[in-house]
Amino acid sequence: MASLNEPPAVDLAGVVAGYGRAAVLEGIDLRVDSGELVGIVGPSGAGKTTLLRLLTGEAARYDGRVRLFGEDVTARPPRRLGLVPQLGSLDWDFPLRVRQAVLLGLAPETGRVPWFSRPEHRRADAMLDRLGILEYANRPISDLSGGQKQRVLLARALVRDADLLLLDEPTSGVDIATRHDVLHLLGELNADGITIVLTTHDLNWVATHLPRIVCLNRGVVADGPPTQVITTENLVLTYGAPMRVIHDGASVVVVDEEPLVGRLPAAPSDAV
Amino acid sequence: MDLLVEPFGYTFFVRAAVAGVLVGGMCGALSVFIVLRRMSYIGHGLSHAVVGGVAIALALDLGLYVGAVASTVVAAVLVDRVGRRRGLHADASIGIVTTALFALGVLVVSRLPVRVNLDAMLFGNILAVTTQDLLVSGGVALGLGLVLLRWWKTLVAVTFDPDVSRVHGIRTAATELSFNLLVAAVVVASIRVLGVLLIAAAVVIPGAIGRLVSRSIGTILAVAVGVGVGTAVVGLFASFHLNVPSGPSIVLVGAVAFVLTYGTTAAVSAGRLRQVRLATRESTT
Repeated sequence: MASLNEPPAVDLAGVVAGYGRAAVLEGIDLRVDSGELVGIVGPSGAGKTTLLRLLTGEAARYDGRVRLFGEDVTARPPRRLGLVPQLGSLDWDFPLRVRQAVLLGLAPETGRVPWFSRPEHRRADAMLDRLGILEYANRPISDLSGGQKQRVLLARALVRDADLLLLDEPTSGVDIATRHDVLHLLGELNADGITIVLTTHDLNWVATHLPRIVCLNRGVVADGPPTQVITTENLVLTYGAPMRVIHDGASVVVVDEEPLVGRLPAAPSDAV
Repeated sequence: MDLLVEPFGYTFFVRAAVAGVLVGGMCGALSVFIVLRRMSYIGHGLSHAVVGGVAIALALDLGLYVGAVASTVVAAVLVDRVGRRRGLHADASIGIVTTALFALGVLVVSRLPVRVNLDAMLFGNILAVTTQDLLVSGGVALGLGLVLLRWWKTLVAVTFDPDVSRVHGIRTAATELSFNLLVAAVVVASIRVLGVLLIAAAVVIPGAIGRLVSRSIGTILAVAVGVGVGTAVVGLFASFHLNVPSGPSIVLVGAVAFVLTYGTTAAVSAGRLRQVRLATRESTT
């Protein structure tokens, strides 16, 4: 939990940002304290990835303030930041073993020889063990499943002692079991004190499991616990489409307002 | 046996062999990153840019290397800058910059009274390897070796994932520009042995062969350097005995090595698949 004197992990105030002349995000105010786990949801083009790129210093900021741990974000991101990209953005046929891929997280700070030291190997193995994939350390990364690949990327970000993790669509293109796996892993990392900010298209996933959601559509539409944020009004403002919100105890489930099933002709019966 | 010993009786061949080993090793080492970065076109482009630079330098009586270095450095920097513009990728950048420099060179050659031995420049000539060429090749090889030793991990990290490497604190822009300049230096050092038209193949084939036989980047580097040196030596012997230009000879040896490796690895994969199918059938019956 963040102390009163500690600056927030993420601090955005009045931010206008984008690429070239086009502003993708406008008037963004967002504060994430150390130790929080926050999911950012929104439709395609809402600015989710731009928000992450703003935090990594890649998107152009036209106005406002962007700070990580109290320091202005410049072209050189802070040491405490770890980025986990989308699985599909990498070439998984790249000739690396799992341990080598994780060790690359230490490349910026390592010695001037072409190999990693024994202590660095031990750090990588400890991280692989923590994430439950030490047994795959010597396998080519091309042989891994989606969930294992996700763990390798997390290990690469964490091996450098990052205490703020940014994840871009961590559940994109993975099956339900892997999604469940990734979620619990993130929960454990967050319980260990790592601040996590992730983007996702998967509304029900974040609505069910994350303590805080930010609905984004070029600006912050709503921000807070899922039970408060996930409302029909907010979803219309965020996605521009009507959705039904079902409350199930402490969690909420979102379904399409007009499901296709029931409006289509019935499938032929086997009993004919 | 005479076929192997006889060429070493000639000083020019000894010089060419030394240059060939250096050039083959350098091209092999760089080819790993060129293949992994999917920039196979860069060797082709930079070698074309050399023609422009050399023509202009000779017209101004500045010497071959001055023109070659100037044009490849300008091309490497421009390729890097143009390729960073949103919406343009490396292939478009290479195509525009290097072809423009090539066109400039052709224009200069056509307008000024410059005498250039185009055959030797385009296809390589082992008779023409001078002590100065050896010094250039040796210097570039030494520099490349030191860079790879010092920045190996950085290069691998940036090649695998440039975006995250930057966020994690690596100066990716400087790394990528330095890599392009390294390719430019190797292209310049390879002109005499390989010729500008054939450098492109020499900076791709060894890495491609390494990629076929291994899934570990360290092993791929070792294989690529070995293939680069081996094809250069065999190609030089063929060039000597068959009295053909050294560039095509080296590249053809490399192409044959690639075909053989491709066939062998495909046969090995098919054999493994057959074994798995047989084992599966036996276990189900």
